[in-house]
Amino acid sequence: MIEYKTKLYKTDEDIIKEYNLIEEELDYLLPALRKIEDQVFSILIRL
Amino acid sequence: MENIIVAERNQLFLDQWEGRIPKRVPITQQVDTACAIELKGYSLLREQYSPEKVLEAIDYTTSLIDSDIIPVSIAQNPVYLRVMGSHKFSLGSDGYIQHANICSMRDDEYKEYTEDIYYFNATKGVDRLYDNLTLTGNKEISAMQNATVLLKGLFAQQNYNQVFIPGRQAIIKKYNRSTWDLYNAIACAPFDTLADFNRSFTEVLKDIRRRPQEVLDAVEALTEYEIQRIDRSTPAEKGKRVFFALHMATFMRPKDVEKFYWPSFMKVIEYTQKTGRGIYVFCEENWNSFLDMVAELPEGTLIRFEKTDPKLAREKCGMKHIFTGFFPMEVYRSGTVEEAIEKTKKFLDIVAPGGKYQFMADKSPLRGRDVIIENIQAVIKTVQVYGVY
Repeated sequence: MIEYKTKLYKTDEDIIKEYNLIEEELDYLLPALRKIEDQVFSILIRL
Repeated sequence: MENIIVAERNQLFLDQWEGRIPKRVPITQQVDTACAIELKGYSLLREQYSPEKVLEAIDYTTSLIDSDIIPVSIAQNPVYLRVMGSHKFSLGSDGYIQHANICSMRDDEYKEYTEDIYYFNATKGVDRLYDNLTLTGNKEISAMQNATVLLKGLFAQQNYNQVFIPGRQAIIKKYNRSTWDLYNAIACAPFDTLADFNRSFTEVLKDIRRRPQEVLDAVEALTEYEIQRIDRSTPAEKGKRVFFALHMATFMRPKDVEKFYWPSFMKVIEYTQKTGRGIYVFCEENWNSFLDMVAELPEGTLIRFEKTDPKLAREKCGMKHIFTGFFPMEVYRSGTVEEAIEKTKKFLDIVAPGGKYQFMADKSPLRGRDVIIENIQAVIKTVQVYGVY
């Protein structure tokens, strides 16, 4: 897995903080948001 | 090719659409997605965000509730609401998606709104209804965030729908449910759009006293807006209906309904009819005082009622329309199975004669606690047997 050193990339911790996720939301909402963030990131690094 | 059970179920709806008495009363009972999730034993705070888990809950609920259509209505995508920071539809602390009474337009903005509703909604409207986005540039949100939130919203919808839509279709097929849709498009009464999406339920009622002409001008502009919404929807086809949920009339004085609400709504209805589309109107709350107006709706319109008196509705409207609703949802969540069966039979004696009724409760069960499975199953079984013509 590539380790990106750019502030464009959001870690899981960044996502949890940005959306104020609570514990119950980590199983399904976090993976859904992780996927979306990765999709957006893949666009941003190609601009 | 559709199998015989599906064909028979579709035929019930086709017969009513074409003015014939069906073999039996069609059953269109649905529960809210949140109710299905809780019936499965899942949590709105957890599994609601996974389309796969929501589909499991819908599959389970469909295995329990033998409506002629899939018994779970479609909900808002909760991941999308979180990504956008939506206020209009927002998640409560228990995860339930609520339609909030939000004001996204000030009372001194009527002129600007009326001149260009699309532009107003896409700029000030978006700014006020979504926390994470600005299209006016007047919020402290960077250009980067704006661009990425729009993209995220798009991906949120795509990711969810790619799983959910085919999964839901597979459940319809698995349980031999009718492929007949209750409706294929949604539009609103112009006054309701103003109340629901811009001024809020409470503020718009003040406006009709304080600035009546501005409200009338807005409603006139919204009439064209709703007509364009219908033009953008799925083309006219046999069995396809446009759905209108009527919210505000029952909170207004009859003379205000006649002035501000009904004429513009009827213009949209007449246009819908002219395009060849069917019409499905949901008269929320109690419409006993407005049934002379309801009677004006075109022949063949499907009308859902909540607290309206079914006998009075039929008396006023004759056999011009197909009715649905009326049945007290309370029967699903309290009382015994025997009482549920008895109440269902008495109810069918009132609404079924003439073949122009589809079975559904007055309100949709929203949460798991709204349904005792044995009761709803007994009610539906009774309609399947006692509701035969």
